[in-house]
Amino acid sequence: MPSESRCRRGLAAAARRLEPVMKSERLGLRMIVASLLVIAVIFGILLERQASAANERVRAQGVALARTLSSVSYEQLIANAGKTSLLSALLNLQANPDLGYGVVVDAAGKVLLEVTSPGTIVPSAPLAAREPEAWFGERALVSPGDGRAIREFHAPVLHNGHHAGFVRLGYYKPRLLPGPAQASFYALLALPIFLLAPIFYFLIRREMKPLGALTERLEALVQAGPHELAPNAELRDFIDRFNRVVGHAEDRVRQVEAEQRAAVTSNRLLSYRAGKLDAVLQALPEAVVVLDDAGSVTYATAKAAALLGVAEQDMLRQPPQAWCRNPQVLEFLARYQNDRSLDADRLEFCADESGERRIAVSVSPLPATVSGLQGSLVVFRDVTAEYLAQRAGSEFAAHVSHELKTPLNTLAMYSELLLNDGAASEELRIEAANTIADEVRRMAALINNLLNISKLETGAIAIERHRTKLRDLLDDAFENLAQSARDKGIEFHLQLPPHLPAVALDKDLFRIAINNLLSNAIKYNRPQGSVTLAAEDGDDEIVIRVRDTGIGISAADQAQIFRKFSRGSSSESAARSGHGLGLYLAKEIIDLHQGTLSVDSEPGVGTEFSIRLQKTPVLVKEMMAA
Amino acid sequence: MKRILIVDDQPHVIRVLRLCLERDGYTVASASDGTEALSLIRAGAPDVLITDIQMAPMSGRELCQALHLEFPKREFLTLVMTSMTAREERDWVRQLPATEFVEKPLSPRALLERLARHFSTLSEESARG
Repeated sequence: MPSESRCRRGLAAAARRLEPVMKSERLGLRMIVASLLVIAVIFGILLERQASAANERVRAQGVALARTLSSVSYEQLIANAGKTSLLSALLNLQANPDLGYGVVVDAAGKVLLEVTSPGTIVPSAPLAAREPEAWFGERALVSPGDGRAIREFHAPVLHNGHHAGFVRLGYYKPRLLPGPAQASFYALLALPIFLLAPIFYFLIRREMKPLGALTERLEALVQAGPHELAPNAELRDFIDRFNRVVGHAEDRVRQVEAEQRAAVTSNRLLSYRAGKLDAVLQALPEAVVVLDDAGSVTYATAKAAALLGVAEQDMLRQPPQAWCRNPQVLEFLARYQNDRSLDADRLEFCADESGERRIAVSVSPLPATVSGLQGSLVVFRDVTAEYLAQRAGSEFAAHVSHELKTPLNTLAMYSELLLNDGAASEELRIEAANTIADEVRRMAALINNLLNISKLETGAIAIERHRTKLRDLLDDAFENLAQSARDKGIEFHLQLPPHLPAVALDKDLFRIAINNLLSNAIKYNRPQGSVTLAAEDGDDEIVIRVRDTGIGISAADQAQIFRKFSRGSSSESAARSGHGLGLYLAKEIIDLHQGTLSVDSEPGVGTEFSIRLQKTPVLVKEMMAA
Repeated sequence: MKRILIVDDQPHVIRVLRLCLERDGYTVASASDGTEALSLIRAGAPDVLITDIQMAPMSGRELCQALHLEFPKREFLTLVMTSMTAREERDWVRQLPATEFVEKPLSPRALLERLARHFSTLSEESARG
């Protein structure tokens, strides 16, 4: 089917192309008309030429004859009147069909002698013989008989040396239309010209005939389809070749189109790939810079420019000196540029004066590209967070080690004191034992807090909430510290409502939080001060308060107290041993219970910490809301 | 009577050292941080200064550096209490003249021996000189 339709289409196109040829049928007619026109023009020119020749001839003849007659003696001209005159003889001799008449008139215009061709009436046109110059001449007249134009030549007739009259010779204007004799000549002349037209026409027709036939055939084929192809070998051959040409052209067009489509696709694919690659590189948390073998930037992600604090366009095609102000980095890159054998190198530097912003830069070779040039890949990474974490970690370690070494130091000294001269004084022994006990408690508290913090921070402690009788928990925590408070002369109050609802708590963790708040309230109190542990059962929440009449916390310190290792800045606060971990841990634990821990304090008056716990766990609320 | 100045923010340390040193016949003065110590030294230089490092507001390191600037020709020995692991601290201690360190946790007996050795060396030198 496709080949058939292709064939049909090809044939239709061919038929269309041959249509103009069909129109040339009218060419024959046009050629005949043209040849007739040519003949007419030729005839016109011929007649014109003939007419002017005749005019010339008439004039020459007329003038010559008039002069001849003028020179003849008067007697000779008219003497033999009644006989054949010289004039009539001469005129007859002329044998010119156009010669109309010959007349001799006297000076007054009276006709002396008249010789005419048959049917000719001499026009009576008097000639004035005033001047001798006007005696010879010619004039145009009209025949009074048939109205034909007449050319008249006149000459004077002299008699005895005097002007005696005129001889007038009238010639008819020659007829333009040829006579029968000339007609045959013209016909003979016209015939070959006329014959040329059909000859050309038939020649053209003969040349066109196959095309015409082909057109008809093609049209028939177009309408009937290729099945009707007559077993005409020539036509078949032509059609085959024609189809091959058309097919080849179509194939070529298809090929070009396919190539174009492929080019567009591959172009899109390439740009997609390039775009994707760029998008990936741009999305990297690291800033990527590619240097060519000369050390100039060939590619830089937006992050690189931002990280280095320069405009992106200022980096491209520029050496590092143009976009990097850090001498350390420049030196690092220059070193790598000089010695590529450094496989991959890394440098960490401060990006700003404060030294807070740390950036790590690493450089590694890029494999040789097609061009054979070797580039380098420079990757910048903001390591501020890691740096700060690391610093915080080492600060934490330093702090912890100091906090642990201090009681150890005390323990070592007191124990040595007891060993060396323990018996020396009862008072000293008691003091040493008390101090050792205190320091051990302090260390144990510190170690407990540290372990709990570490577990909380690393997620090693999974909070396990069980419905807990809050009253029992608070009671227990209170009793645990009551003795230590009394020892310090501090009033210790517990104000709990008769009924406290059970709350979903991690008992062990919550106990640590309450314990830390209570022991702080005791520690940062003053002699004869008081500590109150109270609870209120509200509509939505339970509020637990730990109130003291202690040294208080300044507003500036209040903002810091929940931070790790934060200690009050007052001298009263510094006088009390502490690690700055208790409140931090308490806050972490309350947060884990989706509760809030807030502080309200006035320096020198006292402090109140409030724990607010939602009665309905937040998760349940969220589910209900949903 | 040799005068010893103890600088530490831990009252227990001062308490025990004072006990031990006084029993050995030294006169003991104490300060809880560098600032306090510096004003005491300005009032009268001790024979030996024993100081902790981690104190506020003025640390032991700041105290030693201030002393070095203010009293470059001081004759008293400075003993800085550091632990073996604090390498950074030991480095700056080594760079200061007449400044040495004593190990933490502190042994009062070792400290007494050290002081005795120091003073005997001093008396030998002065006897020779």
